[in-house]
Order: sequence, then C-alpha cells, then structure tokens
Amino acid sequence: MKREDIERKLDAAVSGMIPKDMFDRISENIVSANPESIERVVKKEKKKNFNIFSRSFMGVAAAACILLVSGIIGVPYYGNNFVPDSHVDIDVNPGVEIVTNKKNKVLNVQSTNKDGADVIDNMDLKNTELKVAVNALIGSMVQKGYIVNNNTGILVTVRNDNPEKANKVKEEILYDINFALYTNDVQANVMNQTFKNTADANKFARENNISIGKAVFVLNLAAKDSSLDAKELAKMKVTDIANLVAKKGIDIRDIVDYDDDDSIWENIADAIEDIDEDAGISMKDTADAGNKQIGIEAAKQIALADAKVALKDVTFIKAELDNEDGRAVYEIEFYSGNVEYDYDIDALSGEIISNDFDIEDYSIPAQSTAAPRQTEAAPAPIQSQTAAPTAAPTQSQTAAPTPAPTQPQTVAPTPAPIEAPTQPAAPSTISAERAKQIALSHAGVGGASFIKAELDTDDGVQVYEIEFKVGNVEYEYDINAISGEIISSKSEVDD
Amino acid sequence: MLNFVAVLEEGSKTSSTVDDKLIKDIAKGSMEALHTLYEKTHKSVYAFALSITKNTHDAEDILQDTFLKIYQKAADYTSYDKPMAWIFTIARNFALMKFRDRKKEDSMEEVSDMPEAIFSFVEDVSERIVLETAVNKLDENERTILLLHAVSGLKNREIAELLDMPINTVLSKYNRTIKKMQKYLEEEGF
Repeated sequence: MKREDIERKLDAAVSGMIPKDMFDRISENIVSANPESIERVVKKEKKKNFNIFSRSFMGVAAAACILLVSGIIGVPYYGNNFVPDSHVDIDVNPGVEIVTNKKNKVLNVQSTNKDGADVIDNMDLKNTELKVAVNALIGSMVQKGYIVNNNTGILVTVRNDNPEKANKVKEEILYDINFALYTNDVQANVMNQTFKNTADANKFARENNISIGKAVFVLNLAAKDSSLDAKELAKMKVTDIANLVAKKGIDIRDIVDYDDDDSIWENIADAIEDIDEDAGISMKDTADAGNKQIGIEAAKQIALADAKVALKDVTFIKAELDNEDGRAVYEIEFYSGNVEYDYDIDALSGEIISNDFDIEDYSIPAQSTAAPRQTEAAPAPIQSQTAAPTAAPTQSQTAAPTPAPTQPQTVAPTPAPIEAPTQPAAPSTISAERAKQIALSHAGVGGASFIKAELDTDDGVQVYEIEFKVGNVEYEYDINAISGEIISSKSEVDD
Repeated sequence: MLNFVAVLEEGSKTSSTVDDKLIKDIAKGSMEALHTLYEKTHKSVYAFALSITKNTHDAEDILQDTFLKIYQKAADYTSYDKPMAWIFTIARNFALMKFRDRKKEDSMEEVSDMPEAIFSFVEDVSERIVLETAVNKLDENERTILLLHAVSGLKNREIAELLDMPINTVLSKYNRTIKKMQKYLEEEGF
C-alpha cells in the first residue's frame, strides 16, 4: 500500500471516530461551568492585589512560636517519633511551615503569615506523610487562588541540622510539590534551598515576620546584589522577587537549585510510577507506624482542589470512609452547578485513586439538590448518609492498614435526606434492549455478557444502568431512558 | 455513524494556524473562538490522545476534557506563540491521568500488556486494518508521529516541536514507520 493510501485511510478511520456532536457536548458543559470560573478569576485577582500590600503584619506570634519549638525541643532524642527532625517552609506568599520527624511524618503544620492560616484552614495534617501534607497544602493554595498558572514562585526551604538529611528531604519535597502542581494542573517556578539553622536568619525572619526559608533566600540574594535591600525583599512576594531577579538578570543558580519546567513532563511520568510504587510500600509502612487517616475534611479539600471548585459552591452528596480491597478510601461525591463529581481518595496517603465527573444536561431542581442520589450499584436503596456504620464492619473484613476507624465521621456534611426524588410521570422510556444496543455500539463491540441492565432514577431522571464485560474489559454505561443519550461511560480492565 | 465522504471533504488538513489571539478571545469567553480553535485542532488532539491511550473512549474523554480545560484556562495562557504546545500539554496531562487511573484499576499490569485494540466499528475493512496495525504494531512514538502526520496534517517540523524531538529523528522515524506499516499491511494482504 502506498504511503498516501495508508495516511488517507488512517485519516478517514480516525476522523470518523470523533463524535460529530463533540463540540456541542463541550459547549453544553461550558455553559454551566463558566460563571463559576469567572468568579474564581475575579477572586484570584482580588487576592493578588491584596497580597502585594497588606501582608507580613500578622503571624508574628506564629513565627516566633515555630522558632521556639525548633529551639527548645530540637534535642536529639533517638527513637522518639515526636521529635522534630526537619522543618520545611513553603512560601508562595502564604507561608506555611511543616515540621516532620525522622520518618518524615508530619508533626505539625503552621502558618507563618495570615494567608498561610487561610491555606491550612481546618485541615488536620498531623501524623500524615509529608507528601500528603504537601499535596493538601498545594491543593488548597491552588483552590484559594494563591497559585496561579506560570505566574507563581514557590520557595521551598528545608532546614535540618544534618545537611545530608536536609538534601534528602529537599529532593522528596520537590518531587511532591511538582507532583501536587501537576495533579492540580498548574505550573509554577519552584525554587529551593537547604541550609542549617543559623541565628542570623532566624533573627531576620522574626524581625521581618517572614519564614526562615524566605529569610535565607532574601539574605543570600541581597548579599549577591548590593543594590538590593534584604528588608525590602522580605516584604515582597516571592513571585515579585522572581520577576525582579529576572529583570535584573541575576543568576541565582548558586543560591538556589532552580528547577526548570522543561523537564516536567518526564518528571511527571516517572513521578507517577514511583508514587504508585510508594503507595504499595506505604501501605505496609503504615500498618505499624501508627499512621492515621487524613480525615474527611482533608479528603474533601483534596477533591475540591482537584475539581477546582469552591466549598461554598458545592453540595456534598456523599463523604464517607469505605474499604476497597483492603484499602481505606474516602468516597467523596458532590455537585457543583450541574456537574457531579465523584472521587475516591486514599484515606492514608490522600492520593486521588479515581475521579470522574458527569454533567447533567438539565438543571437540578432546587429541592432535589439536597436530596441524596440513589445508590448506584446496590439494588437495595441503602443511603450513604451514615458513614460510620458502613465503615466499621468493613474495616474488620480485610487487612485494613488502619488500626481502628477513629475518624470523626460525624463531620460528614451530607445534608439530611429529605425525601426521595419525586418520580416523574414517565413518558415513554426506551427498552432495556435498546439501551444495551446503544451501549454496545458506543463501545464498539458486537456482543457481551451483561452484568446489569436496570432502570434507575438518578436525581429524577430515568437512567438505564448498563454493565457488561467483553473479555476482561468491564464497561459501565448510564443511558438516559427517555432520550437514549449516553450520560456517562466508563471502561476498565478487570484482572 | 461514519460519513467518510464528508470527512474527507472537510478534512481540510489544518495545521497549526492557531495564533495567540484566538486563545485570548477564548479567555474573554468567546464561544466562537473556541469553536474555531476546535475546528482547527480537534483532529490533532484526538489523534494524539488516541496514539497515547490506544483507546477510543479515553481519546474522546481527553478531547472533551482538553477543550473544557482550554476554555477554563485560556486566561492563564502564557506560552506565547506556542498555542499548540500548550494544548498538547493539556491533552498529555489528561492522558497521563488516564494511565494513572488505569494503573490503579489494573494493579501493576503494564499498559502494553493490554489486549490488542479492535476497531470493529470502522466499517471499511481496509481502513480498519490500517488503523489496527498502526495502533497495535507501532510503538508510541511511531504511532504518534504517523497519526499526527496523517490525521491532523501536521508537518514533521511541527510534530518535532510538539513532541520535543529533533527534526531528524522525526523524519527518520516517520520514514521507518511507513516502511513498517507497509510490511505489516502486506502480510495482511494489503
């Protein structure tokens, strides 16, 4: 076959596969998402302006506290997990400090300024792994508009009396931050430095109400370029300092390890692999390390950050701890506008195991936004409102790494089930057979063994839930029972 | 379902005639601009997604997600003069997420161990065989280069830029890929 023929045939085959209504689908989804995103842009702008001027007056007490902690308790007491080992500062302009023990478990997370407190919010990150804390914090910074694509500098400082350990922690944290940036779909310039605690920097940090990390960077920078004043730099946002550095053409590679964005793609691919592997190991680790779950609130935060929606704009349908294949998982489901998000989040690592969103092309009636969705798989209509009871029995079934379900399940914010969604007087639904055909033809398969094909009501809309298997691939479809439209589709390889 | 004649006619091999202004208009909320961008680039994005995931559902998801994200993120677009690179970065990120999800579901099984992709819904037999050969027999780089070349009509130079590869590598890979395809297709009797 000639080259031209190969290309022409490929073009015809592939072009023919792209659904003709794809752009319509995209634009339908946009209509609802748009006002929200504009609102977020506005919010970001506000915050940006705010950042430049009113800052660094708060958090004196917080900063002083941290320094005190590292000063007093920082005595080596071998074998004690509660002894602070490394201090990690993340400065965007919200400043946060993470204190970890020798095993890189988080002992404490504190803000070094007011925005830092906003970022930490109510998340309880104590006793989590460092990477979980980093992921949650970066997620929160993104969600709250502190990290804006390509326009944000992040300064990471690791302090440890042992330079080797400091370097090791630095490597880990950079990796975690890049991964968190990736999962949150933002890019930022990450600058980092490691150093031993020094009295000068401590003092400067305290006096200028900045984190110790920023203090070191600023002092180094001012020392390098005599036209700069450390005190002035201390007042600036890291982003603005970065701009200044760029403008003045200062080579800062000798004072920080500059992490170019260029290689991010390869980093990410490797990162994903390693994180996956880590997840396997951390399961074993956590069993004896007394690791605890991140908590529903942190899980929600992670999901919201990933979905890039604000807490005030969502209605939670479900937020519960479940056990999947021996792994404790938070199942988080919520609505924002007419988009339904569905997250599974590892209860220990905070990692997003799976996420999915469906967009309903009708507006949800006001009264039913509060009403719970019908459960998907279980034929018995057991609602997911009571998280604790479901979590407890499943815990004991498998070798769950968590010792006991000690989570404060009561915080589950799910609104009380008011009443089941009203069943619309069904006009005429398509047959289950027809729904199966639609799913099969969409999947591009001739026949399959069906696992499920049932009519369900999902938020007042009649939906065929179709599940079938072809070989070891399992397909799941939700099909509008009136219009025959595919609401959602999913396939996974079952082993 | 498939209208090849129409596809071939409208398959005006649009290459990267996308400029920053289009993205800026999208940032202002112009659906028309988004539509123009879609018309110009959706085949590239789809072909790229398909070549990475080898799966039509994933490629569809990625196509949709990518344009939603473009609309959402146009205001943050700063890769001046490289809109296609930006778009591909978005698509690639979504593809990576698919892999991540799949890996989770699939434990440690390698994605390459997946069963061969079958495109039974492509009605024209020769088209189907060509596509299945490209998807199943080529490695990812070869597949991506070939699909981008064939489906989106991108020039090898543009492909080199997007994939961050030297132009010579793309050229030689492209030629080798064509030969490979010819060999496999001959075995199939084409």
